[in-house]
Amino acid sequence: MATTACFIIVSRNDIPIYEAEVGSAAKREDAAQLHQFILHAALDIVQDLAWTTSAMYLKAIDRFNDLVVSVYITAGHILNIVN
Amino acid sequence: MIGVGKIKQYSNVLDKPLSKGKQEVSLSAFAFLFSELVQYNQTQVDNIAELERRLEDAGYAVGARVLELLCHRDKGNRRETRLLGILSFVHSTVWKVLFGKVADSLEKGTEHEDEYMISEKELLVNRFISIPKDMGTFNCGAFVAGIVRGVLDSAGFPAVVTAHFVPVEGQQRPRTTILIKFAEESLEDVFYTTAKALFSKCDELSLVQGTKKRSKVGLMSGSASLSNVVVFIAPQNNQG
Repeated sequence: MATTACFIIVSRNDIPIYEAEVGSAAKREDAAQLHQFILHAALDIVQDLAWTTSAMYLKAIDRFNDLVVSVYITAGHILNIVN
Repeated sequence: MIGVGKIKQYSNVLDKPLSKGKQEVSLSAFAFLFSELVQYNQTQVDNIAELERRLEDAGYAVGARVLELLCHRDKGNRRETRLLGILSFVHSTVWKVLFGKVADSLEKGTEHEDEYMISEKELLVNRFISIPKDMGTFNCGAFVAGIVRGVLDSAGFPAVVTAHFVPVEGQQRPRTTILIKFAEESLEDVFYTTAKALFSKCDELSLVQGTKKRSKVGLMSGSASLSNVVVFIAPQNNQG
């Protein structure tokens, strides 16, 4: 994998609970902030989409350049967002 | 040996299916624990409203967790997005798991749009509790009301939930009713999502909601290829 993927668990009040960088590339400082920024921007989209479907795993809800955001929503609206 | 089954060994613990857990818990153990919970809270508070609030908060924590657990265990990883869906989920699945049977009835309030009632002949938590006269209308079912509130709140349908005694003719002990009063925002989802689905073909969509006392008027304007289409939607009843 050329780039790292960022995985964040967010509570239902938009408070991040857990964050992890997954991947094999060397850590770049700007990439980490960029991932967080993209995932943060995707929060609004997730909130809207959460009410349209009863599925739990939503694939590819948002794109940024070549980075794709996917999310897994639990029953209590705990969001596991992956970039 | 007769009847020995093979236990399937899973190499990865994540592949193991979710266990059903212990189905039965000793009733007397639970009654004892619950009575201790009530007694402990009684020593901490000065008045009844505070006691009810504490029991509700205890139930809230249970409700939030039970929702997550049951979603994975019983509902096959599907969330509830509809108000009626979550209500029937509480009424049957949650009640069955917690008390061993579905609730007696689920009714919609007649005077207000946002009220629903779950009633039960006798709540399991109240079975071994007697309320002294000087405590008035206190109901230990506040714990169950807290559970329901926890489930609804975590699923995204905020509501105020209370437990009441309703006297029934011909029966010595009154019936218990859990009254659920939904906040404004949980009701509008039913309306908004169905309206949005109807007009998903429009290019530009903006949904403006006005509130007029208890009825909601939805105004949607979308631009089709030739003209602007403005549609008023006024829900007759809760189905809209």
